[in-house]
Amino acid sequence: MTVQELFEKALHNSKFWKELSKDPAKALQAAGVKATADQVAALKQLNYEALDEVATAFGGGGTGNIT
Amino acid sequence: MFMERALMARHNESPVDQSSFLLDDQLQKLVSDACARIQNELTRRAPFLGEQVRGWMAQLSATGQAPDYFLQPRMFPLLRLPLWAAKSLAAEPDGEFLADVIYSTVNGYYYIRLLDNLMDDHGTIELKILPATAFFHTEFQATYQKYFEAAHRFWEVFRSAWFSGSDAVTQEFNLDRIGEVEFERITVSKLAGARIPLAAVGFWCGTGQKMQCWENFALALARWSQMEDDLFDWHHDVRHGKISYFLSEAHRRKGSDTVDAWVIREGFQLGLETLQRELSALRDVARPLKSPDVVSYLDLRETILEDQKTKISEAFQVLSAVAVVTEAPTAQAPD
Repeated sequence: MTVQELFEKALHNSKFWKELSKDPAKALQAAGVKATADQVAALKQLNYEALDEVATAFGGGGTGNIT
Repeated sequence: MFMERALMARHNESPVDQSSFLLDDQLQKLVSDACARIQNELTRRAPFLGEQVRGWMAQLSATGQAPDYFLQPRMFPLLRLPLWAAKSLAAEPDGEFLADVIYSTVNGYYYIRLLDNLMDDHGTIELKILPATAFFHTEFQATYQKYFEAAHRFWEVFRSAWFSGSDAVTQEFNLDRIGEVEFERITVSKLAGARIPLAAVGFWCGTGQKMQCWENFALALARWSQMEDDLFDWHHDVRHGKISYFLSEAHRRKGSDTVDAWVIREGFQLGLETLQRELSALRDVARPLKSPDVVSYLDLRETILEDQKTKISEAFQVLSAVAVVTEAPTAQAPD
C-alpha cells in the first residue's frame, strides 16, 4: 500500500487501523500484504491514535468558506 | 454525516480556555437575530423560496443551526472584525447600526456562498434556490442605504470592493495554475468584500481615515486564511480537480512523488511553517489597531497551528512507517 492509499484509509477506514493496531500481522494479511516479524514488531510500536487528527483536519475539506 | 462531523471537529480543535473569548454573547445574539431576520423576511415576501433557503442555511451548518456556521473558531472572522473595530473606535457602539451591519454581512456571505458552491461544483440544492441571490444581494446592499446617502464616499468603497472581488473570482475560475503572482493579485483580491462592513463602521463612527488600518488588516488576514484553507483542503482539491497556490507549488516541487506523497513527506510541514511565519507578520499589521480582541484572536490561531503541527506530524509519521512496511520488497500485495 502506498502512503496515499494509507492516507485514504486514515480518512475513511478506521476499521483498518483498529485491526492494524490490535494485530498487525493479521490485518496486513487480510489486506494481502506479507510482512516480516521485525516489521510486525515495528508496527506494534506506533501510536495509531494520532491518525484521528487526519480525519479531523482533512476530512472536512472543500470548505472554501473563508469569506 | 462523516464529513460534517469532521468539519465541525476541524473547527473546534482549539483549546477551550483560549477559544472561550470567541464565545461572544453579543456576536451570538447578532448572528442569531440576523439569521432569524432573513428567514422572517423571506417567509413574508417569498414563502416558497424561503422554505428552501431555510433548509439550505441549516444544511451549511454542521449543527443544523444556521447561526452556528458563523461562530466556528477557525472561520475567517468576517462578522467579528466590524465588531472589534467598532469597539476600538467608539466608546459606545450603536447597537442598531451593528445589528444592521451583521445582517447585511450575513446576507452578503450567503450570496457569495451560493454562487461559490455552484462554481466549485459542490452544490446540493443551490441551483434550485439560485433566485435567492436576488434577496441576499438586495438585503446586503439596501441595509446600508439607511445610513449612507447615494453620494456618500462609502458607496465608492462598496463598489470598488464588491466589483474587484467579483472580477477576481471570475479570473481565478479561468486559471489552470495559481503561482505566487496569481495568488497575490487574484486569489487575495477575491476577498476584497471583507472591506465593506469595516468601511461602514469607519464612516458611521466618523473615523474613515483610521479604517484604512482595519481594512489593511482584514485583507492581510483574509490572505492568511486563504493560505490556510488551501493547505487543509489540499486532498479535497486534488480529488475534485481544483487548483490552488499550494497545489501549484506541490506540482512544482514534488519531483517523481505523487502530490499526496509529497504533502505527507514534506509539503504539509512546509505549508504550516509558512503559515506560522505569515502569522507573525500579521501581528505587525495588527499593531496599529490597538485591539485586544485581535491580539487574542491571533494568539488563538497560533496555538491552534502549533497544536496541529504536532498532532499531524505524528500522524504522518505513522502513515510513512506503515507505508515503509507495506511497500517494502518483502511485503507482497496479491495479484
